[in-house]
Amino acid sequence: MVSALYFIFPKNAFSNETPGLYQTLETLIEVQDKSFAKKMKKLRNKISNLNNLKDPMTVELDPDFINHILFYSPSRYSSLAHKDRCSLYDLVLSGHLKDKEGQLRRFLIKYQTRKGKIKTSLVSKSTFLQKVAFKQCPQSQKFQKYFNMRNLKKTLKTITLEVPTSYDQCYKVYNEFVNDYKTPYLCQIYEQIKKVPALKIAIRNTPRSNFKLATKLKRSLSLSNDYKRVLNIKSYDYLKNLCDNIEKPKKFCHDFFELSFWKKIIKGEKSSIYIKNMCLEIYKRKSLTPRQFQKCARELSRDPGRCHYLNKFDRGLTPKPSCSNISKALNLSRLVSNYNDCPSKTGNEGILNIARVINHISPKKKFSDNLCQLESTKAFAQFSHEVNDGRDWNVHLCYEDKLNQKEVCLPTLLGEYPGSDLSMNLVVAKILRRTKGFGNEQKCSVISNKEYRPTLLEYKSGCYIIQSDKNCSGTNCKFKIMNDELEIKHITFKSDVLFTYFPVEYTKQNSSQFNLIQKHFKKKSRKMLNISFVKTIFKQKPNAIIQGIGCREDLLPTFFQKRSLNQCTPLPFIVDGYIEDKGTLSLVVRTALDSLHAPRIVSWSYVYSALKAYKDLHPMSLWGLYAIY
Amino acid sequence: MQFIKYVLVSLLFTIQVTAKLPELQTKQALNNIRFLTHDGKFTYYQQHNGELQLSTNYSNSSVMKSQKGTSYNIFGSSTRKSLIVEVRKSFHRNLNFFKPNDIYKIKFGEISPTKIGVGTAPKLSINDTWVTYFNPLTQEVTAKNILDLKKSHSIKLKNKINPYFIPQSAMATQDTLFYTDINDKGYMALIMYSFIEKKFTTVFKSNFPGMRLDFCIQDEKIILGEFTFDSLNRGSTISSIPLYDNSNFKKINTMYTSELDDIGNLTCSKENVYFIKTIDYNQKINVKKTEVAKISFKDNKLKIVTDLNYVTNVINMDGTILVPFRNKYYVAKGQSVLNKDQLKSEKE
Repeated sequence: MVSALYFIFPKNAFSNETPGLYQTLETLIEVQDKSFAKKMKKLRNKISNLNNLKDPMTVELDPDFINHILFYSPSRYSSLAHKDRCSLYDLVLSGHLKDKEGQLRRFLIKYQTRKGKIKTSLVSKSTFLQKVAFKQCPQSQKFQKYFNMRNLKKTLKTITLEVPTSYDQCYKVYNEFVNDYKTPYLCQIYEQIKKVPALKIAIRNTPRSNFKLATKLKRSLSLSNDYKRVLNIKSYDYLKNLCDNIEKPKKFCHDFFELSFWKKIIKGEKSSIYIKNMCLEIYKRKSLTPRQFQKCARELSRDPGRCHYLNKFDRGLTPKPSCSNISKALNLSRLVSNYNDCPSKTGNEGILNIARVINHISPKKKFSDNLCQLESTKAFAQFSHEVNDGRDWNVHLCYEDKLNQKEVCLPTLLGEYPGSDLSMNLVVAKILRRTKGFGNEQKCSVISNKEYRPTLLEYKSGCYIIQSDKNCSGTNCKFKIMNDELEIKHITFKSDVLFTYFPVEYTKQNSSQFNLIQKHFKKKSRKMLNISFVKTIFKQKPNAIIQGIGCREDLLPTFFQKRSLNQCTPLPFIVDGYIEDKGTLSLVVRTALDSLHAPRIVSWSYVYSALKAYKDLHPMSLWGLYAIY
Repeated sequence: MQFIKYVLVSLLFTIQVTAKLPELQTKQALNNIRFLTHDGKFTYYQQHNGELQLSTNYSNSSVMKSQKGTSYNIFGSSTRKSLIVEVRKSFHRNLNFFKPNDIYKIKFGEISPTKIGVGTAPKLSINDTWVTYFNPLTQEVTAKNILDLKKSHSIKLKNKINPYFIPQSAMATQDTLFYTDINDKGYMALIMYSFIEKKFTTVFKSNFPGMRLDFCIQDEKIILGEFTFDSLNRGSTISSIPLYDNSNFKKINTMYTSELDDIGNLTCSKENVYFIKTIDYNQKINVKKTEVAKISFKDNKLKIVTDLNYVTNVINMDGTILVPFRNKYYVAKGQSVLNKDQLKSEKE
């Protein structure tokens, strides 16, 4: 870097007076520009073909010319010119050096004629390369040959893009690249591929009348596409990291060890479940191949704003955080989340949060690919039946038991969940067996309003539970039951899901979900009073997560406002990580309104205010933040 | 960079910083109070058994009774003719965003409630003759005449993109409802609906998706804030839009801009608009330093009102501007000591 600076500012350029850094720089640039322009003007019409050149090895580029091109070229590549003149020629050949007008076409050189005279001349690029550069650096000519399109595939096979396993190794790899004469050629490939979107736009915007420009752009696009075919996605990402950070070793290595979550998905280190819903929405498909998931993860990695409104399947709070913030949060997150849920379709924030906690402390390997709300309601309902005979899962299908003259209610899920006795189709069939002599082999199916076509033969016989498409949640839904085209009217639906998350009465503490979970799963809990508690628990217990309830108006103040005194809406949430900067702490938070795979980074101050406001309204003055482990 | 931004904002608007604000002092335990008049004469408070009571002039009266675990919110306006009560049954046990609450009206300082509908986020408009509210289940904004409950208009939101969106709504005349909505690309707009013409007019559409519009109507103008939801780095603007002689609402006067994402939460008083301003932003950990700021309608001067660092809300309760922070309420404007019982002097 220092040597590059000497190129730009030769010693004599620094005058006696130094009025200030900015002014000096400005003056210098002006002086350089003037001096260079003067030389160019003088030689503009005298382009030499170097027929009288004595010795190509003694030819030198004019210092003003070097300063000029280094000034107008991307600084990150200029830094690669520090080794020797060959490294500068490699940058010329790979197209990284530019002059005021763009691509270099002419070179200003100083050379000795056969008569021994020192001359400054302007030469064309091809003359310079053939008569000077390739003579001085034959290796550069070889590189140019190796990296042309014909030989590129073969050449790339000989180059290893080494993925480092430690920071020390990474800095070593970085230094090797910086000192490698081939690096500019590798970056040329990346730069050409990078141009694709811009080229496409330029071609679209170029009028047909401008045939020359259009042809040039199309040729460039064709080259980009050729390069694209040769380079695989992983190599492209590697080169992107290298070439974008060629001056920044720390950033180059950061990318390997503090990878964005999306890149971890691309590499196969993380499951594609995290992006499944977003990618299905992007590609408007029902399923995607692993390659499509990789492509999608790359899109999320490149466009931070892409994640805000991808919400078709999650049905959570929007805008979601930016893709970069979600990635940051997921990298710090520990909640087991190998499934999808959908907050607004669940119909109860408490159920959703409890299901997330249960799925964390008692992870399942398989999840249904059915209605997303059933993942939460099934976990909650099953837990409720295991711990207190389903007292808290108050969603029932009822019928009149005429024999005993009483109403009988059976708990149900609002949909089909394979393997669960609470599946609505099984519960309805059970009731029909008791009341209508339904056969053991006869079955019911749950379908949506949209699917049901009474005119089709398929629906003329059999039992169908037809759910409304609108306002149908995991706890409440309008539906009708058709059996052999006749509507079943003696089965009624009751739903009143009321339960306590944390205790609200001293005498009924054991019946709160918080206490039931601890007891049933034999887990410990600890109250989180301040940030030290939070940091300690995450450091000491690798599986610990924190669950809490606070006022949403304090937790998410940009989404929900306070308009009256003591206004508060309790909102359950999970904390499963933290990030710290200069003593200030933020938490990785999933509120029960947020998509499972889109956690937010929330200031501890907001969490604290939310807990404090809720505590003031709580009958037991409960500080609702507990770690479970 | 933040420093430069701060300097730029300082150059555009004269910022004054205030001293520490006094805390609100009340006779009742503050966490039980739901509404308090600016002079402390009327206090609506709730009891643990689910009862809402009015305390005034050394006497207590029951306003309404509900089951244990019910929580109340009370909303007023500067007109002081009516109050709106939002009743939230099973406050701790029913954690369901979409459950609409019962909404009642009572005469200001009185105790007889009348049910007017179900929903949330009620707001009084036009001298307390109309109330607007939102039903999250049906996604409808309703405007109802308090004096004649049969006069009612409902608009279904177009929003499909955010299931948890609660629009703001208010009325400017007997015929016009203003409310916010979001389109399927995430752009929020302030829309005017005319009951007579049954016509929708877009007053203002946000410049980017993910922007949030806050508004209040004050003295024949709309005060409109354009803020961002979270970490979008789009900056903030507050404008004033005249309600009349403003064809298609083209006349928009910018009162304030900032390159930082303010929290916003606009609250209007007669002389000022209050909002939550971001002073500093640590992008790495998504932490904002925020304070209450006010802009004077008279000269557009900006003043930072608090020095609490992490303020998120500001409330106008019967003309008293309150700043809730942790478990305290600071008084930004109005009387803070409302716990002194003094016998009236002879002159009074």
